[in-house]
Amino acid sequence: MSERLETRVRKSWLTPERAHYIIAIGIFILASVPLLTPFGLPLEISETTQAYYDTVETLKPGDIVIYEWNMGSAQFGEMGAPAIVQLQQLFNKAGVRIIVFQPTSEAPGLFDANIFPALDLKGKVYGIDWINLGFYPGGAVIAALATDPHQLFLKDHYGNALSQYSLWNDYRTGADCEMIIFNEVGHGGSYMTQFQIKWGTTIVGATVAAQYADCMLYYTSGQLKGVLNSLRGGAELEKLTNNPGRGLSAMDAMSTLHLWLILVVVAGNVQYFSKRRREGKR
Amino acid sequence: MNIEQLVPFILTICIWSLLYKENPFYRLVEHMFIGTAMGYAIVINIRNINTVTVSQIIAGNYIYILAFPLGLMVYSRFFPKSIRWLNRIPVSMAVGTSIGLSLRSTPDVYIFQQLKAQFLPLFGSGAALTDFSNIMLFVSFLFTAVYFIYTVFPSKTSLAGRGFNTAMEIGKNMLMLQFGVQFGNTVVQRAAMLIPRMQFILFDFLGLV
Repeated sequence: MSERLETRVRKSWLTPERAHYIIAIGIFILASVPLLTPFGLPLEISETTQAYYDTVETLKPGDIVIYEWNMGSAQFGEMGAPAIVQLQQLFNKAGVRIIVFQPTSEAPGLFDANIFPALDLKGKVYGIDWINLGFYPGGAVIAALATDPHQLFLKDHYGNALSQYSLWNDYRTGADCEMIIFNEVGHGGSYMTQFQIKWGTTIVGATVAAQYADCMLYYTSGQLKGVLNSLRGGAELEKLTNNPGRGLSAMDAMSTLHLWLILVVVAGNVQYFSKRRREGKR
Repeated sequence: MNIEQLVPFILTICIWSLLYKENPFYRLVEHMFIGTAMGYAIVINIRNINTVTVSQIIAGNYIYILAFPLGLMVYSRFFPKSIRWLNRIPVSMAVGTSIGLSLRSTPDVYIFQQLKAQFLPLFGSGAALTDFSNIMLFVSFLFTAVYFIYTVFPSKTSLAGRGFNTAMEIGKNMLMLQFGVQFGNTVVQRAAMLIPRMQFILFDFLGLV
C-alpha cells in the first residue's frame, strides 16, 4: 500500500477494526430482531427437500430404515434441528422400523441429551420398532453393517444384547434395509459404496451447508434421492411435515443475516476495486 | 434460570468475547472445550473397546484378542527406534482393509455413475430451464475437464492453441463459479451455527419468547 493511501486509511473513520465491530454488531442485531419479532417471510420448499420428503413418505409398514446421526458438537447447532425433524418424520410413520447408528464418538452424547428428549416416539417400542446401536467407529463398520451385522454388533447403546430384539433379528444384511437416512458432514459415500452398490438401497440425507454443493453431484446423478440443506433444509422439512420447531423459527433471521452478509461482501468488493483503481492511477 | 442454562450462557459469552479481542476468558473456555472433548472421547473409546472387542471375546470369538496387541503396537511410535517400526503393522492393516473395502465399488460410485450423469439429453425435455441446465452441465464438464489436461500444450500462436487456451480459461471460470457457490454455502453454514445459539440465549436463557 502506498504511503498516501496508508495515511488516508489511518485518517478514515472506518478503520479495519471498526469495520470488524460493525459487521459483528450487525450480525447480532439482525439475528436477534427477527427471532424476537418474526417477519413471517415466505419459505419456499426447495426441490431437494421436496424429493427427500417424498422419498421418506414412500416407506411402508414393516420397512427397516437405518438412520445415521454422525455429528459432533461443532455441527450440532446447525444440524440438530434437521436431525429432530428427520427422526420425527420417521417416528410419525406407522410400522416403519428404525435402526439408529452413530459412527462418531461425540454423536451418542448429543443424541441422548438433545435429540431423543425432543422426539415424540408415537408409541414405538424399543427393540420392536426402533433400536439405538450407539457408537461403532470407522468405515469398515459400515461394511459390516451391510454384509454381516450380527457378527460385529452384539450390544446396543445401552449395553444390552442386541440378539434379544426382534427388530435386530429381522435385520440380517443390507438387503433387509429399505432406506438409509444420513445426517453427516458428507454425502453418504460409505453407504453408496457398501449398501447401494450391492443392494440398491435408497439413500437420502441431511448435510451441512458447505457440503450441499457436493451432495448435489450425487442428487443429480440419482445416487441420492433427496437432500436437506443444513438448518434451512430442516426448516423446510418442518414445514412439510407440519412439525414447526427451532428450524422454522430461525428462517427470518437467516434471511436478514444473508442480506447483511451480501451487503458486506458487496461493500468489501467495492472498496477493493476502488483501491485497485486508485493504485492503478498512481 | 437454572445452572444448566447459566453455565452454557457464560461459556457462550466468553467464546464470543473474541470478537472484541483476544482475552483470558476466551482462552479459558477454548481450553475447557478441547479438554472436555478429549476426555469425553477417551471415555467413549474405552467403553467402545468393551462393546466391540471384550463382548466378542466373551461370546467366544477369540480372534478378537488380536485387537489388543495390534492396538498396543500403534503406541510403539513413542518408543526407541528399535521397536518403532511395529506401529506400521496395525496402520498398514487398517489402510489395507479400507482400500480393499472401497476399491471394489469406488470406480462405479465415484467415476462411472458420475460420468453417466453428465450425459443428459440436451434438448427436448419439455422444460426450457431443464434443457438450459443440461447444456450448462455438459459444457461446464467439458471445459473444466480441458482445464486439467496437463500433457498437451498446443502452440499459443496456432488456432488450435488459442482455442485450447480459451477452453481452459472458460474451465477456470467454471471452477471459480463452483468455489463461489461453496463459499456462499460456507457463509450460510456460519449463520446456521450462530442462530441456534442466539435461540438458546433469547428463548431458553432469557425466556424472551
